[in-house]
Amino acid sequence: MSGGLVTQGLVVEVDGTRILHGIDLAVPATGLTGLVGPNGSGKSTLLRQLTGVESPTSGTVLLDGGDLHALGRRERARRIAVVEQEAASELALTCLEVALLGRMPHQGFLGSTSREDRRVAEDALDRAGASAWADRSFASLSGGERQRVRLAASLAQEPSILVLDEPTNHLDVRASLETIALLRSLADDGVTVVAALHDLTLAGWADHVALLADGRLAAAGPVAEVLTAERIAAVYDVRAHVGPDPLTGRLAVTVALP
Amino acid sequence: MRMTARRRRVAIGAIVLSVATPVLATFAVVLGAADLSFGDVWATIGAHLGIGQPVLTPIEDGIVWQRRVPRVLVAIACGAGLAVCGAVMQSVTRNPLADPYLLGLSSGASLGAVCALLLGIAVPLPIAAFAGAALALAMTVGLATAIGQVTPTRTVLAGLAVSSMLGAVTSLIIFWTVTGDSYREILGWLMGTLAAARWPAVWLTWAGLVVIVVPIVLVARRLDAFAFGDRHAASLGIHPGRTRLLLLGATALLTGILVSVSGSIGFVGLIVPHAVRLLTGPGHRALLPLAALAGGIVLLVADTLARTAFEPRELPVGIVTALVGAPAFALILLRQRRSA
Repeated sequence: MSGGLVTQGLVVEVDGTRILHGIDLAVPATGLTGLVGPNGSGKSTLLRQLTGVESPTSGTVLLDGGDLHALGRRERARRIAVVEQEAASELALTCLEVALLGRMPHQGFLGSTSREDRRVAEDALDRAGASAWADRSFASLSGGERQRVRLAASLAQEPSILVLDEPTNHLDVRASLETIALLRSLADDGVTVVAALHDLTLAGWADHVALLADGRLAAAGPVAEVLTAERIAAVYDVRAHVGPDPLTGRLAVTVALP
Repeated sequence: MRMTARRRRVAIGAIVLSVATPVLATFAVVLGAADLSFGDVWATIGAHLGIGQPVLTPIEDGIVWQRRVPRVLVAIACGAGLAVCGAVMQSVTRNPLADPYLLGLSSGASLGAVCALLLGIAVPLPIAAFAGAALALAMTVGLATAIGQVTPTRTVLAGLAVSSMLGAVTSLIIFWTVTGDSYREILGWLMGTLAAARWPAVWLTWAGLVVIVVPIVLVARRLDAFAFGDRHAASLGIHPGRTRLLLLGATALLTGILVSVSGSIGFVGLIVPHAVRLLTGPGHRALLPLAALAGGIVLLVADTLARTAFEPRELPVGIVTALVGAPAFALILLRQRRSA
């Protein structure tokens, strides 16, 4: 049995509507896995299953070969960190306080913040390039800056698996690239990174890709094998071209209306 | 660094409030008819605890030990409890406008208490009040959910509807059953008053504080997990639904206990957490204990004003808290609009 996250026959129904129709997906334990597919294909639903926050209608999710839902909540939170889309808070938290939230699964019953917790949170902010804002109010930051802080909070959790839902949503090109580059470097450091990506032009940064269409897995595997022009054309109903990016040499997807 | 500056502020705030509480409490006992001094008060308290000799006449002693001391202690407990209830409700519902009064819990608790008092239902008063508070909470949350997406304003509107309805039922029961002078007494209690607080009320409210507030303060950090919503809380290893239910149930129980003693006193639970947050920031570790201290002081001062301002007549303390609290509530609404 390989490590990482594995789903077996995963079916999710919401209010009687089937969103996922039996997904068998193995997320490799190493590298950056991109989850792509058109709107409504079930990316976010599948992602929430991978985090264990929601239970499937049927089927199982395995973490390192064991049932994810058999793990205690805190144990699960120590291993899997999640960055949701666009979370907002009414509270005037500073960025360091946001990062310290990530330490919660590691803290005792009373939740006292130790020196070690502070150090890990500060390192996480540093790693995410957000340490300059540690004492600033989270609410006062721009979208790209907030995304860094939220990434830092998930890093403070010291997870072995990091799951992100459209981490580049609403970011400008520079902030998008910085985010995906950070995910890339985390994956290179041994964290299993799974990210739903709505922007196919960023998919070239991934090692592996899972392509969803209408709640089914259309293809999964190494990025170059999955993202072929024919498959993208069929799933997204566009004309597609796949080739090396002239600037970076990475796999690049170009699309046009048919 | 700001974090340490804030920590120092919190520490200073905690010390100031902790010292101010007994000083103001003594002052509150001194104030009013009967010419007493600080020394008299402490000597009397000492004498009753078996230290030293009585210094006052039996009548003065009665005023201090049987009336004012218990009343002051109940005021502190009610204020502390209401403030913590408000802070907890604001956190787990992610609603800056939440408090036991605005969401109808106090009205529900009043209805429960009135049912037990006047309809002769053989249930202990605090339990009946708790049942009423829990019913009101369920109705408010149910109504707010039924309207559509749950927003702070909608929740408050739902709370208004629920508290108007339960209040009307309460009034109906009172008009139906009460005769003569007790009508006046019940009315006073409905508006929130500590005039009748004696030692049994002290034991009840302080037991509520120790059993309900102390554990919540100890696990306060978990409330921080709700900052970004339920799903984020779940990803941090918290069970959001269960935690919320448990904490809201605890606030309903505490509200029931407090209302069974004091009637429904508004705005302390809403305003005090907001004011304390200006000092402590949003972290519940510092917020909850300081809100408890500040809430105790606020209600102590308000009750002393209510008792002495128009001597020998006495105002229901609920009128004082509403006079001060309602404009502050309007301020919070204005701030909300600006940030939204």
